[in-house]
Order: sequence, then C-alpha cells, then structure tokens
Amino acid sequence: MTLLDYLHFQGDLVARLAWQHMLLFGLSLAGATIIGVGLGVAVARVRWVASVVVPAVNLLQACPEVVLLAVSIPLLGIGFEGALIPLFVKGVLPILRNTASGLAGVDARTIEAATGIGLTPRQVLLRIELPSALPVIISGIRVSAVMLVSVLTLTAYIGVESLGTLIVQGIARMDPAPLILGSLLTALFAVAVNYILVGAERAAVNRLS
Amino acid sequence: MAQAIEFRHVSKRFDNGSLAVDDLSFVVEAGTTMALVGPSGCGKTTSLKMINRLTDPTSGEILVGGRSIAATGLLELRRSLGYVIQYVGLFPHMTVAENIGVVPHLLGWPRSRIEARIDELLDLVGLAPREFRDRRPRALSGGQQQRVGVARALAADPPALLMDEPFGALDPITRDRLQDELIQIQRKLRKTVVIVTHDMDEAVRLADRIAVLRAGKLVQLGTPAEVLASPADSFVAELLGRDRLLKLLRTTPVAKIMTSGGGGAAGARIAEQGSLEEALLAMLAAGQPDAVVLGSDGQLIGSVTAADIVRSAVRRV
Repeated sequence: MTLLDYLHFQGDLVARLAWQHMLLFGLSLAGATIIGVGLGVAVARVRWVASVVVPAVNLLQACPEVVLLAVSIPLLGIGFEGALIPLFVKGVLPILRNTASGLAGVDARTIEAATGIGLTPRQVLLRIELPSALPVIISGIRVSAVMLVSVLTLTAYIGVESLGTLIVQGIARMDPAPLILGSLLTALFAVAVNYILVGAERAAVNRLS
Repeated sequence: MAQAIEFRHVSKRFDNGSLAVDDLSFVVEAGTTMALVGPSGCGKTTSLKMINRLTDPTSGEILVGGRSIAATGLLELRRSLGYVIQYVGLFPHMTVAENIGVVPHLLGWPRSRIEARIDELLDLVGLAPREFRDRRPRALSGGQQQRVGVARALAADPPALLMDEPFGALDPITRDRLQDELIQIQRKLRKTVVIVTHDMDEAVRLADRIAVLRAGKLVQLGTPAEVLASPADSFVAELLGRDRLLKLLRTTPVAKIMTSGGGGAAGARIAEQGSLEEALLAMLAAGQPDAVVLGSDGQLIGSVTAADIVRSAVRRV
C-alpha cells in the first residue's frame, strides 16, 4: 500500500491520531510549563529548594523515557495518566533550568530600583523579573516542546493513541506506509512547533531591545 | 510640598559585624539639597538606602516630614520617595512611558492623568514626548536613560528625591548638562533632595549643604563654601582636591566681595551673579587686573580687583 492509498483508506484514523497527539502534547507542555516555571522561581528564590529539586529533576531527566513509562504502569495504570505524567516530567527540566537561570540573569539593580520605588516582591516578580527573563524561559519551553512531540510517540507502547500508534503498527505489520506516515507527521509537527516558538522567542527578545 | 528628612543617631551594623554607619545625625531642610560625600565604603549609599528602607538601621531613627519612617507603611514610604540610581534601573521590557508611569499606576491614578503626567515629565527633563514615549530603554543613550530615570522618580510628585550617584555612569559632558538641568528642575520644583556622590565637584555644584562621611562617621557638615573654605581635617581637604580654592572661587558670587558704587577702571566686565572664578577669567581675558560689576539691567553697580579676590580667598582659608 502506498502512502496515498493508506491515507485514502485510513484518513480518519490518521486524523484522529494526529488530533490525539496534539492533545497529549498540549496538556503535557502546559503541565511542564506550569511546574517548570513554578519550580524555577522556587529554585531561584529559595536555596534549599535548589539543593533538593535540581538533583531530583536531573535524575528523572537522565532516565530513558521507556523506563519512566515502564515504572509508571504499575503506579498509574495503563492509559492516559500513565502516559502523560512520566512524559511531562521529562519536559519540566529545560523549563525549570531556563526559568532559574533567566531570573538569575535579571540585573540586580533593576530589581533594586523596582523595590525602591515601592513594588511588592510579588509585583517585582510578575511585572519585572519574569517579563525580563521571558526570552530565556521561552527558549526552555521550546526545547521541552520539541522533545515532547517526539517522546509522545512512545505512549503507543502503553496503549495510548498518538502518532506513535502508526509507527508501532507499521513495525508490527512490517508495513512501511503507516510507519513512514507516523514518523513524517511527528517530524513535521516538531518542526512546526519549533518554528512557532522560535518566533515567540524572537518577539520577546525584540521587546527588550 | 517638600518634606524635611532627619537622621537621629542612626547606626547600621551589617550582619558580618562591620559598622557601616556610626551615629549619624543631620537634618535636610525641606526643599533643599544635601549631598552625602565620601570615598566608597564610607556608608553614604547605606545611609541613603535606609531612607527608603531598602535596608533598616540597627539603631536610631529617621524621620521624613516629621514622621518616623518605621511607623510609615513600607510601600507607602517608598512610593512617596523618588529614587534614582546610578545605572538607572529602567525596566528593559517597558517603554519609556510605561517606566515613568509605574508608580502612578501603583498608586491607582486614572489612566488619563498618568498619560498627561508622562508628557509633562518628559517635557521637564527635555525629551520630546512624541519622539520618546514609546521607545525602549535600550534604544536610548546613557544621558537619555538617566533623564527618564529622573522623570520616573518625579512621577508621583514625591516630596523628596533620593539619588544614588545619579550621573556616575555618564561621560563628563553629558554629566555636566544633566547637572545643570537638575539645578533648573530643582529651582522649579523645590524638592528635598538627598544625593549620594563620591564626586566633590558634583556635590559643590548641586548641594545646598554637604555632609562628608568617612568610615560611617560624619566628618563635616556645611554649605559648599564653608566646607571649601575650611575643611575639617586633612581627609576632607584631600577629598576637595588641590583645586579647592578654585572651587571656592567658583561658588562665591562676585557681589559678595565687590566694592559698591561707580568708579574703578574700565577693565573687564562681569555680571553681579557671576562667580569670582568668572571674574578672574574675565580679567585674564581682558588683560586687566580689575573688573566692573554690572547689575541685571546692565548698569554699573560696583567693581572688583584681582587683589580683592586673592584677599577674600586668603581671609577665608
């Protein structure tokens, strides 16, 4: 079966899997961003948090995705949660690291000026520090996003549908059509995500200059 | 309304045990400018930061407008004091207008009032509002950034202005111009200003009174003329530099020592509000040892000789 034939007969399936892939991606990236930025702020602010969180996240980062998935099955079961949680954990680190280093890079004198003219610590963080660190943070989000797009294909192994399902099918049936289609769409998706976020990063940098 | 700032036996001991400020007492009268001068590490910046409570004194009390700052709400206090620092500390992600509007915004001013205030202040510091409102700090020169810094500090019409080496990072020519402009602005607004500087020339130029600090202690407090004429000790004399007598001539108006009435040779001419230094320069330029002093409407009101100037300096030293 050629690629076009496959698309013709299985178009609905491909569309559903692509949609599912995007959904997984959106949810995992959102989760990774919220937790990554939150932990990044904590790491930049509180010394003991840095000494606890950074090694833990580094360890998780060093684990191969397949191992994380395998470990998560007995804990979280096969299905959506089991797939999503270990994966977005992988996405946390680049965002955390960039948030912390972006905040560390904000000029101390800018912060002092902000404090000196009467901003509360919360206002200093939200209005001054995070916006100043935004390009670096977006760059971390981009690294996570591109990684998540491809890593998400692995969820097919624990029964969660994504573009990975096509790849797994192709391998199991020795059928190159779904294999190539799944890989191609995943790659395209990753490239698109990268471009969009490079644009966002550039826009954030331009705001600063 | 400007408000007086008073230090009462203020000391600051850092956590590492060193005494940064040692029993400092002085009053900055409302509407006047006080310069805190000394070498780095003398406690001048620490003293300034205690006024807006970026750091708190270990003992003693600071009053703004007769009220202890410890009894004022922290944010209320800071928002009521303009603050200008050396590297300006403009917020890089905000436009010039947004930077200036930060404090009025925090104070909950209506938008139209904030916008009008931004234009007014940009005019005051010599930046055309239409051209500069929407620029980012990085698209400005150092002098322009510092002007925006001053505008931001003045935004909410604070009764007092704290300046920490405000012109320290600028080239000499720009610094000169900004000092002049600050003098003009201060003539108009009459704020209470505390300015920290290591530059005695700047202190002499801008301040009504100078407090010289060494190792956290107040060594001398007086008008620029007093300090220049009689430095308290060799440390202050050294800070003033070898040209302190020239600086003294620069700060003394010619009207102070001239002989009133007509007469005198038709040598050089000098306006009555000119300094003794300018009088000497006029004499040098004219090749004459004396000068006539002209009043504001151009009529002759007195005369001064080079010998008078030398005598006045000698008498005061």
